[in-house]
This record gives sequence, C-alpha cells and structure tokens, in this order.
Amino acid sequence: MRCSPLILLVIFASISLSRWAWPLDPAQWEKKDKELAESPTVLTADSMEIRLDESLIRYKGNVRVRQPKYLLDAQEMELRWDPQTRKIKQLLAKGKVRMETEDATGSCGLALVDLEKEVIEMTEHPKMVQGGEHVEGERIVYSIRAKRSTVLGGKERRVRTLVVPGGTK
Amino acid sequence: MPRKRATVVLIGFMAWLFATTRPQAEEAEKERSSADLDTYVQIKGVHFQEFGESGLTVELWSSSGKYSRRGESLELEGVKVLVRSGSGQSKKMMELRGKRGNVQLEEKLVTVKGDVQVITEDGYELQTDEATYSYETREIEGPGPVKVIGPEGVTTGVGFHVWVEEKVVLVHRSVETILEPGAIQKAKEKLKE
Repeated sequence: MRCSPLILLVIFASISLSRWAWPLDPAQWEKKDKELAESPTVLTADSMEIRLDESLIRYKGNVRVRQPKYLLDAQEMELRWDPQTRKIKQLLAKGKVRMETEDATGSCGLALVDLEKEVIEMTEHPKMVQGGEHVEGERIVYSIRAKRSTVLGGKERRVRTLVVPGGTK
Repeated sequence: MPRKRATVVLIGFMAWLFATTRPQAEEAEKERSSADLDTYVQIKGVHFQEFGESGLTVELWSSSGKYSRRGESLELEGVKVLVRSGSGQSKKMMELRGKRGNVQLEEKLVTVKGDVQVITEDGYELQTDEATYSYETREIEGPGPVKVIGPEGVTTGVGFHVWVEEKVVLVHRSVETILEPGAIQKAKEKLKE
C-alpha cells in the first residue's frame, strides 16, 4: 500500500507545527526571566566544608555551578553568607575557572559571582569569547542579565580584542 | 625409724598445703563465675550526665535505657544528646537525636542510630542514619549518606565529620547543594520543634 504524497505532507506539517514556538511577547519574556532567576542553583563537588564561625562554605574538587542561565566550573569554590540576613550574596570560584552562558564562554583564575546582581567578575588572566570576539584584560565584568561584558585593562595587562570575521554578534 | 618420721612430715605438709590452697581456689572459681554473669539495670526516663575535670562532659536524655555492668555500656531508646561547644558566654549548643543510642562509658562514645539529626544553633540540620559522638575529642562522625539543611540550601553527600569546638562541618564525598531561598526557614522551624 502506497501513501500518497499529500498524506505525507499533512503528517510532516502537523509534526512541524506542533514543534513551532510563537515568539514571546515582552510580558512573557519577563515571566520567563523571572522563572529562570527563581530556579535553583545547583552546586556539585567532591567535598564540602562549612565553617560556621566564618559564615563560609568551601567546596573542593571538580566544583560545578549549574544555573539555567550559566554554568561555572572550578577547582575550589567559596560561598559566604551574611550572618544577619542569612542570605548568600557571593560565590568565589578559584583555580581553572571556566564559565559558560547563553552567549559567551570564558576562563580565568579567579571569578566572583554576585548572585543578586547576576554579575560575574573575572580576574587572573581572564579571557572571554562573546559574539565572535575574543577579549582579554586585567579584569572582565560580565552581566548575565544584560549579556554585556566590560573589559578593563591595567598597567600590566592591556585590553586586547581579537575580532574574528564572520563571528555572530 | 627416721624414714617413718619423714613420711609423717610429708603427709602433714601435704595436708597443710591442701588446707591452705583450697579456699583460694574456691574464691577464684567464685570470681570467675561471677564475672561470667552480667548485671543489667533497666531504667525508664534516663537523664545521664558525666563530669570531667573541666566540668560537664556529656549530657543526654532518653525515654528508656539498659545498663550493662560488664560492658560498661548503656543501651538507649529515643535519645537526645546535648553537645556544648565553646565556653563562657560564647557557649553554643548542638543537639544529636536518634531512635536508638549506645553509650560506651570507657571509650567515651555515644553512637546514635535511626533517623539521626544533628541540629546546630546556627540553623543547620544534618540528617543521617548513624552518627558517633566522641565526648572526649568533641567530634561527631557519620559514615553513610547525609543531608544538610542550612542557610545556603539543601546539601546531600556521603560521610560527614563535625568538629564541635571549631564549629566546622565536613561532608566527605559526592556533594550536591541546591541553593533555595526556602531552606533557611525550614531549618529554623526544625530547631523550634
């Protein structure tokens, strides 16, 4: 029994339409952004040490931070909370730090993640690739929310940008 | 004649030796048999305290207990151990709770099993199946899977160690933390219970 091309076309069209996502309007984007911000951050590591007197948690060995908006790998991670408000504000990633967001990747020796502001500040030979541009400097500040990076140079390390022709913006 | 006298002396010596050693042997026999028998004391509503040179070393409560004289141990049901850290005004409390417990008085160890919880004043709660508290070194250890509920969120892992004086908690392996805002409130509510 042979299927007519019309029937095949109808089946193909129905599968394709079911997968079709209409573009979100600004209100829906806002809702999606809020959902992403509220989704939990997952930290995995080989071991964890809590120092109650110092309001500090230290993760060691193959540390990975997973959030829908970004991924961060490091050898060690420190997490501090405010003893008064009991809120965690910052994550400090140390050693072979690798970062991946929706539109950028980066690496450095030390990275400070501000969880409230959603800002990653990279130091110690920071490098970043964003939209086909390779940037280096003394300090790179990347805003996850705005998807924007600021590269700062110093006396020892000047800002260096390498633009790859044909890179996606 | 002298031979006959010597025999009499020998018999006399043997009789004296038998008379003197028999009570000792009987006493030793009695001691051996009493050592084989143990003395148990069944107790309802236990409040146990041990004092050292520096003062109170351990304090615990239990719904019931069984003391063994031979084993120098105390078997407990429904146990709650109060663990103190620091001294003076900075003294802080931790609580170790569980369904069953065992106190080894010689080794100064309290082993707690079944729905074990370690609750700190800082709002941390550790949940596991088995934990041992050494009230000599002031350390709590657990070999199995552990769940830590704290200000940062909920952490799971395998094996833990708590240094009570230093207020340090270490989770040994396979750590996973989920940072959630609701975790702090949950830990505080548990402490109030």
